[in-house]
Amino acid sequence: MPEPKVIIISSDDEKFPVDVKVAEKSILMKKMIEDLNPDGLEEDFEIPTPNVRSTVLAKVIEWCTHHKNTVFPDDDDEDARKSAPVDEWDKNFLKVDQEMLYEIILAANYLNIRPLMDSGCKIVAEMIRGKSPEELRRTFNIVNDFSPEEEAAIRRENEWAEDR
Amino acid sequence: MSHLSSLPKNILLNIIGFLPQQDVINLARTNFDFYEICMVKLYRRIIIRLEPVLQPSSRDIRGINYIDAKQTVVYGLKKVLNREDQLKIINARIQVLILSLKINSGLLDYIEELTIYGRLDAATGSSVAELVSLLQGRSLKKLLITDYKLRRSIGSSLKVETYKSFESVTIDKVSDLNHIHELPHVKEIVVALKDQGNQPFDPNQLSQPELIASQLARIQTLIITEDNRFHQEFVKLLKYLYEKYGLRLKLHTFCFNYYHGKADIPVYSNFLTQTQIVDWTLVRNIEVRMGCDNVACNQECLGMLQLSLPALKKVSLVQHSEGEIDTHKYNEIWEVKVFSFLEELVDSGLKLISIRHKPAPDGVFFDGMEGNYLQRLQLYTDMLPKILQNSRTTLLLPNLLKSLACYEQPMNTLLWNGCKCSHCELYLSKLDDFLMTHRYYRFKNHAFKDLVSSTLISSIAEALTKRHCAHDLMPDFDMLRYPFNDTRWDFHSNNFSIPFKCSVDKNYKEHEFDEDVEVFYDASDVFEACPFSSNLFRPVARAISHYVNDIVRTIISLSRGDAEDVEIGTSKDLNDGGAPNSFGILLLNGFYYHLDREANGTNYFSNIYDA
Repeated sequence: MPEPKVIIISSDDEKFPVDVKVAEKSILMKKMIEDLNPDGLEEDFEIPTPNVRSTVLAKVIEWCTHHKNTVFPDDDDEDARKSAPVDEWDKNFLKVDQEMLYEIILAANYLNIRPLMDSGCKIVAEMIRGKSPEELRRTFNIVNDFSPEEEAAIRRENEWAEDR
Repeated sequence: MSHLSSLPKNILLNIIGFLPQQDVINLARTNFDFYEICMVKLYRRIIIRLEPVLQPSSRDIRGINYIDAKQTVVYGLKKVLNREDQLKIINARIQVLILSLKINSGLLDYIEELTIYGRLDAATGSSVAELVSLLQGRSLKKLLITDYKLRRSIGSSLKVETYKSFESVTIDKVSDLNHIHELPHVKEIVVALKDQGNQPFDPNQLSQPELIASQLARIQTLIITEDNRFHQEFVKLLKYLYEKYGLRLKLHTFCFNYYHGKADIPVYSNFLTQTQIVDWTLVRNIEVRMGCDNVACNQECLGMLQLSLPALKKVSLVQHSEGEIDTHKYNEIWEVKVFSFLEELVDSGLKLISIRHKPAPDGVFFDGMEGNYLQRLQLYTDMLPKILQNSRTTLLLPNLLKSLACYEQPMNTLLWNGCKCSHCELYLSKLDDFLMTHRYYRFKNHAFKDLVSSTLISSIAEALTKRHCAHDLMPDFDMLRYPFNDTRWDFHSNNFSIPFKCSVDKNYKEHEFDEDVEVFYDASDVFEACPFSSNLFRPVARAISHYVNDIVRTIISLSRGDAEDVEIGTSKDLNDGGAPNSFGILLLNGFYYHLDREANGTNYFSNIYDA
């Protein structure tokens, strides 16, 4: 008999059968599997993800499959998570448009896949680095709601930490 | 459509957590929502120190690193200034910070961690005191002041209320523990015991020992100073509470000495490791300062250190000795003991290993030529990767280069027969000039000696070591918690003698002319005219990093260069980087590397700051 699978269902009702090991990269799914199958999986197990589109879910599953054997720093070791550079494979994997990137991050957040969320956030952080406030507004469609006086006040407030 | 602004707050905070301070400030200025979130990050962890943040090399195209995002650093100016000017600007910055906190007092609640690293002057010290007093009764969880004098002057002015929110406290005398029950959140105790002086531990110093024992049993992190005298007094206290009140420590982080002195048996270290005082099954991070100065024992005792640590994630090992270590033999024995200790630990899934040596200050060893340089190097390039396999461990070797610098022959090779790139051609030949025009004063001989390559490389390595924040009260495994220091050596000051003395003519010429007449020099004589200054330090460091790059290449088996061949990525492919991914991050004496694999399966490294 083949191993029972976890069947992840996207918001648009597409079904993705995956190995337990792959699904367990998501702490959310891992807990669901453990809680509802205390004796281990005996038959296929369906998990709906009502707020993840199939295109995004496919990407997330691709990531989980690639990393099924990777050992990541513990989620609670903030220091190690922050020191780690973005994995070369992840860097290529996340070469997608801004909207897709945000959706992957949101899905990783919802499914509780900390290393994927961190890689995504680091890529966004790289896009923010080295830009002036005006460039940031343009790149990320940020609406300026400061008066010139307010902006000057914020600048003064944080002057102690300016790089110069 | 998803925008950056539409992401939930926890994700935005995570993203901002990977930004260095200037980018956080820039993002804060874009609009109000971002401003609010950015302030949480900017004020959360602050470190005040002299050195600016080391900037990554613009030539490194791959590696973004996030170390510079870990703390907000209050420093002087990026430009190299003298200490006084640097301190004036730090003081001005602290005053601006104080003013901002007074105007917008909501910011006070964001500050969770404040570190004062290194020595400040009186004016800056009193500004720091003012800053700390503002934080009274707010959210500050950890205040670490490495300088004892400043710690004492600030500590004495603080009321107990200030500490109420603290999760970490530094104690400078045993009786400080009498207040520990008043601090409900304390999880971490840093034992400096500097005020204890020569006063030995006496149970009468504890007002309610039973209460203190029950408080200590709740502590998760215990960092004991490396200073043997104070360490021993604290262990006596633990022994007393263990024997009388059944104290059991349930630590997840523990830093202690395992030391065998000249005359004694290692009784106090044995007490920690051979009784039930510590529940080792819970320990996740340890730092052991290992050493033996007992001639008869000859470091045999280090082999007896055996701990079962099933939960261990991070380990730092520090070479510890009261005297100056001046033989290679001693180091070689120590390293073998350390590696066999490490080998026993690997199974637990170690994520970080740090090994700190205690090299000779001037790089001169008596048995210098005999030293088995290659064999020692092999421990790191061959043995360690083999025992770690594909674990992508972080390896920190804060002063390995300084230790290797004591081998004169390989250092000569580095200088005169090393890297042939155009950068090294230029700067290694400058170092050659430097060697020829400088001398150092050797107190042992009461004479000026010509510089040898070992002394020079060891001095450069010493300056590079200061790139990472390191202190007795900060465990080595936490080294990457602080952005790197942009320290630059001025090519003259050193920590073993008076500043190097410059001469106008090359040393060998003087020898020719002055054969019969002894000439006396004044150390400050021609100091100003010397072309070697801190401006040269970064390019020189880059040249030295090319030597270290070669060590890294050996570690990841990239010794054939970056060329590709048909066996790429297969197990037979030994020289094209098919070696296991043993390390993810490597810090070697100030040089910081990311190691990973290309999409085609070959290993690569990037040298973040000195590419």
